[in-house]
Amino acid sequence: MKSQRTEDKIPRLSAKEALVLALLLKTPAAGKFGLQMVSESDGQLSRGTIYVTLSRMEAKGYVESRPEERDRVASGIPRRLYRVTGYGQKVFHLWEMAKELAQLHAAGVVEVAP
Amino acid sequence: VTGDDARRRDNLLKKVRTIRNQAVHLHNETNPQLKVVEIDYRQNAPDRRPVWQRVGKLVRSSQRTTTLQILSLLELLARSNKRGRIRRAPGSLLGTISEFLFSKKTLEEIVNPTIADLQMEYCEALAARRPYKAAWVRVRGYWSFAKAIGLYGIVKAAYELWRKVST
Repeated sequence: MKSQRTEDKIPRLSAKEALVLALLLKTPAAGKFGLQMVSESDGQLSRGTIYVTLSRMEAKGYVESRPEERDRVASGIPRRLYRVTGYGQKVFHLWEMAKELAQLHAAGVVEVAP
Repeated sequence: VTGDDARRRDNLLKKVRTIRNQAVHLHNETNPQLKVVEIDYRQNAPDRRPVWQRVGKLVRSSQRTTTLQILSLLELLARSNKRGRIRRAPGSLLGTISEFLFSKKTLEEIVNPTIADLQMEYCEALAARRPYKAAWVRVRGYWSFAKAIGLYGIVKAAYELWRKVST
């Protein structure tokens, strides 16, 4: 329902959200932990903001999460594993196309009608 | 503590001090037996009674208590107090406080993953025998937590406002 409502509007994607989606799309089936994404982002994502970003993206329907599967004997708080949704993939591809178009427009290769 | 107890404790502490001095003297002479006794005592489970009670019982109960055993016991207790102490994992107090302050959703999506990362990195650093890195991870983890919570509040307020305006 949440994603349906979001689909009715124009999807918005910040640079940080696009980076998260790009990292998640490297292993779409397996998913990634928050800390994994931070270490793979080369300092573009920080530990303090990653879960806020992921929470917002989950609310928008771009990603889904679940607690990691662990042994019964394992102690401590379980981490959350994040995966990109089908809607998230579509939005990311559209965002890439829009970005490419904007670059071509800036270079004067194409003209965009107002 | 009654007067008799206090006197008994003073006597005992005096005895322990004397024995300790003798033991230190022996230790200085590098007595090879010292290490053997130490190893035997290390294998025993640590006793959590106060030092004076434990040593007192040992002195009272056994005529054969040796200087070296007392020294080993004192060392073992000192070591167990300093290094073998059971501590709570870093962030567990933050988690307990957060349970009162935040909603279930915030706990699941923001607080718990941040604390889980802190605990995992902390344990990894300790397992690699890098206590200074572990201390740094702890500080950084607390900072991340503060950042995440502060930021989350602002972002949530902004998101709610945007939703209200757009509908």
